[in-house]
Amino acid sequence: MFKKTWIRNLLVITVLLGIFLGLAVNTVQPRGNLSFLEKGLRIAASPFQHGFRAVDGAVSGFFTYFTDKEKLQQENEELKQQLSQLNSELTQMSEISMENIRLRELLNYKEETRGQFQLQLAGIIAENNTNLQHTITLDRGSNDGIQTGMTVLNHSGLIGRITAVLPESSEVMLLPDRESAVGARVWSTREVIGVVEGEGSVSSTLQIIHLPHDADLYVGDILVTSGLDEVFPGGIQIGEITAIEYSANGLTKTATVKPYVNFNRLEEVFILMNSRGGNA
Amino acid sequence: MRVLVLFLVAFLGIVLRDTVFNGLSVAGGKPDFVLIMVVYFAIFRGSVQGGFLGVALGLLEDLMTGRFIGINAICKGLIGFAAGYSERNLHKNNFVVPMVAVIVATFGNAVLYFLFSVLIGGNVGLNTMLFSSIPDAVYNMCFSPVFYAVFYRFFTNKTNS
Repeated sequence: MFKKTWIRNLLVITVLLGIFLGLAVNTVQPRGNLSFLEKGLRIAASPFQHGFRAVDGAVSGFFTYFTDKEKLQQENEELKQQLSQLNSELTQMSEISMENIRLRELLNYKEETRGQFQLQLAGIIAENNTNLQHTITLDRGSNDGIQTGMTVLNHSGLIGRITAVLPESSEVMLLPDRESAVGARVWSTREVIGVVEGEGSVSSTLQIIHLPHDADLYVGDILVTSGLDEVFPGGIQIGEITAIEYSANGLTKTATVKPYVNFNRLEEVFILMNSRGGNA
Repeated sequence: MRVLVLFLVAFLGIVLRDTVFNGLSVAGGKPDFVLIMVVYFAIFRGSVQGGFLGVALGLLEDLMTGRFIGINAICKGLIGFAAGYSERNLHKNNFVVPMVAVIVATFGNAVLYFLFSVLIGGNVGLNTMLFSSIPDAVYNMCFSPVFYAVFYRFFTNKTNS
């Protein structure tokens, strides 16, 4: 009886393993379209993500208060001394803040009507950073004209590309994702040097592997997208080369690239609306 | 009805993990509510039911957030199945043992995730995976008493009645 149960369990586990491994293998490459079930679940999660995101700042601020209590008390003493000075600056800061809002609106307007590089501002509503994937969810979807393959960037440089689109949200595969790759050229020499790849961690660097030993590349070189991969448009800043290592046999070398974008501090991003197929 | 509640809690747990707990992340760690639920359900209901709930909730997680559909279903299913074997041997009145079970399950889940990721062609470092599991395990351990209390109350009341 006990043996029978074991055989049955083993059979069920084997069948389920086969089914789900098959599914996983079939979905290992980035897909343009999500399945009906995935779309349904993510659409259902979207209002919760928007709602929870709103309280996220308040909750994290609450806990930070307790963890940094001693530091805050010390700062509080210093701040008391600066209070009179800050009061006078407060009025000035309010003016600057309001001016900033106005300038931001003007900038959006200017960018939208520019024609060649039409940018759509988007906020991040969820982040899914594991060892296997690095993605973020934006609050813009197909209702805003977002399509799969569009480039995502900010003022610092390239962030990633849209890999899935829902009516009210979209998912972005970040540059540090292991599946992410972008054709790059050296900004100063315009030489196309290869493909910058993610290493799988948002806090770490990017890399270019299998470079010829005589590739014209130096520490400090600035890299921009080449546009030749037909995924990302050319000329967008990627990062700076921080180290070059030769392989043991000296035939190839690997360059380490520090991205300009801080992927741990992403809050608002731009979606390049006319970037599909590298035509921007 | 009971299953529906479990799915709803798991659904909200996944959304919370990717939103609110991003801001409360400690050393990159976030709680895995689905894993905690699967382990405790398995402890009270045995390996078969634990395994099936693991597969179902893991699949839900894959469909909601994953790019690789099936990986979490496999890992959580096997964790549920394994955790279910402690059903008869575990002192369910001792709250420390289930906390340890969640820690072990967190690392077990990381190892399984690594193995199956490599099997499907993913490029994940085992060391990175295990080190990043430490804050996850601490977070899971902190939440485990709350979940265990709810599961304990529910399943022991049901048994008594």
